[in-house]
Amino acid sequence: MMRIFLILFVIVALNILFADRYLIPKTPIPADQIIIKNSVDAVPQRILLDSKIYQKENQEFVITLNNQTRNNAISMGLKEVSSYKAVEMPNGNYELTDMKLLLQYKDAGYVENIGFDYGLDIIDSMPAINVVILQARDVTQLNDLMINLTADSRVVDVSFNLVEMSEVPE
Amino acid sequence: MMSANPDLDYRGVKHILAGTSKIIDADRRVDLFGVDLHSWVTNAAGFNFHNWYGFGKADADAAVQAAAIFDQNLLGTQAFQEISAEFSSPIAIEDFAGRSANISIIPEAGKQGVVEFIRLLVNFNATDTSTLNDIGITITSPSGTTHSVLQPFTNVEGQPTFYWAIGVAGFYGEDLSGDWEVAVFDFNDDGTSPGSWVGVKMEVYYR
Repeated sequence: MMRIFLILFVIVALNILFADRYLIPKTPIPADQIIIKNSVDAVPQRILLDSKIYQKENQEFVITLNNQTRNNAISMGLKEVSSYKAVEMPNGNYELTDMKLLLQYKDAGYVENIGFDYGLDIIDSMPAINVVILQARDVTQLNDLMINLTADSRVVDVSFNLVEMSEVPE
Repeated sequence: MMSANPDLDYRGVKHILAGTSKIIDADRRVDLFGVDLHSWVTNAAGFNFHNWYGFGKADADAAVQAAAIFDQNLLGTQAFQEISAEFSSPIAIEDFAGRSANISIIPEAGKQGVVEFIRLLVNFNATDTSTLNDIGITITSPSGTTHSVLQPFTNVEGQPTFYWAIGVAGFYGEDLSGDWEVAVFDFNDDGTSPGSWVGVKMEVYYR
């Protein structure tokens, strides 16, 4: 009887002594090695405007931001270029974009997944500088798309693909 | 439920179902090396959740009765935040060990700061495809609730380098504000590292 108690005691003692052997150790990553980005802080650097673009005979582009300037452009017989929109730059200037996105990535392995996650098609690729040109399948939410891509840790930088300089009609 | 209360939207229906459903198969539990993989967990807001059964077996009578008197306006509007944490250099996950990262979240001003749903995206470079099966992931909320959101040895397949999206419902009703801990473990004591952890992103839907 004493032997049975002794054996039970040894089993219990060994279980207690070696219990930690079967736990996976967990080590925190130091805070100074973690770079946090929060979407609340993410502000688009460039804003796609509700605009229509027209072209003069001398090939200059005209940006219209309201009905009045649109009517002026139409009355002048200018041709609308529907594939372009106006972008407001951080310095307040206007530029034209073909609504494609220039995206610089951290790792080429991410590109396919980024396209899948955001509904983007790869139009062109410049692997030497980690850049792809992407086209959104839904161009109605491009500003929101820019905010989300800016906050994405796989993305170094994203901007609208700009085309030629233009002017605003008086 | 919506016949009893036409003002309900999907969030109201979810809130009521989560609160009225019943625990089923209460003893269903798997614990591996001290990490709880499948079990009923009562979160800090009092909601029961299990990785197999969600919030449990729907109780139709209770849900319809609750719906009839529920004020949808109590839920307010839903907000969204996306917080990404990238490591200054990839973190190697050692053999049979875990690493954790703390992510601090503050809800927008004027919001209740109550979690509705979380989408976790984990960026991981696996040594090779087979080592993906060795990985397990847990999240611990600021209130101290821990859920296993990826279980090891579940025949996961995919690219060795991945940005894995995982839906997490078990923190429903908890406080959003505070430090959330995401931990990645290697469960296979085989003498090899499963790969490196590059970063993590939390997409939080809350009110």
